[in-house]
Amino acid sequence: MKSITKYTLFGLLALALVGGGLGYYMFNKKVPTLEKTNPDFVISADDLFNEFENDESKALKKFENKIIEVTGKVISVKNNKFDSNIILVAEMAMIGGVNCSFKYKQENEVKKGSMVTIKGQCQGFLMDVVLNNCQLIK
Amino acid sequence: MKKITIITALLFLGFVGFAQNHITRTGTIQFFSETDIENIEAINNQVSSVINTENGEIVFSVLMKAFTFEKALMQEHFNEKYVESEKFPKAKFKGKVTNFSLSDLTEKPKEFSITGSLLIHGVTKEINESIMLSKNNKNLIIGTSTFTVKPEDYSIEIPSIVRGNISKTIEIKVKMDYEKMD
Repeated sequence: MKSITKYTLFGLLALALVGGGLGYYMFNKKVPTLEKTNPDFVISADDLFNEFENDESKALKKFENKIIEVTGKVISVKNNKFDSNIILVAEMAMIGGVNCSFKYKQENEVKKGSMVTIKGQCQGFLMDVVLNNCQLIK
Repeated sequence: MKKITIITALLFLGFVGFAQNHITRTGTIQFFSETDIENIEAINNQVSSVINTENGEIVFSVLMKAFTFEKALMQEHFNEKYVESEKFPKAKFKGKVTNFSLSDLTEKPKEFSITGSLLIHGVTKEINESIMLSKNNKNLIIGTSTFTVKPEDYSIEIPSIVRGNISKTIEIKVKMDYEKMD
């Protein structure tokens, strides 16, 4: 009897520790990077922008929250203190394009006018198609 | 389709051609909540904004989902439970900088007041805040503003179980650098 109580107590304690540990882990879990995530769509900046411009709600249904690998020509590069933006031009757009936000400052040689491929998560459409949590592929 | 796009583009060109607009698509909005239990911070560097330098009219548009947090759970709760970004994807501000004059701007930031309506979580409120404006050596207009909002003013409900973790007033920091649109 005594040993059963002991085991039960020990079991409960172990469970509490695992539960607590798991809870702590979940609570502190960082937003994951997309480095190892496969894209849901591989598309050009022109095509992606056109889908949003032609029918925003339809494009939202298709692309929102999805991981997109987009290729296009760089129209602007902006490095802030901690993070960066690269905007890809869309040929049919007056001012719009694909706005890619990087969580960490980019220390690469991407220049205005070069062709790049970027992977990011689609969050919607303002003047540009907005991708964030981006990774530069090439 | 191409024809329509070109026509829209031309109309838009006409519209912006006459008005003197400065624009940014990479403005930053950061918010902070500080309590004894934990600090919460999120950043969005994809804010679109246009300022008309003839009359000081200004608009901001931001995707709620594009706020990034350090912790995954915070980001999930923010989107799903608090601001409900599926239902209310965009926050907007439309207003005016009082007594705006482009020629008054120098490299030294000058304080202006800004009034207008702020839409968050489907609720619109009139606000009146101050904004610092300057012009840098690259001819960009730099605007910064810090103000606070109360989640309850925008019908954002914080459940009692986490009320201690989230500050009653959220500090919002805005930083914009506008380029001239030609």
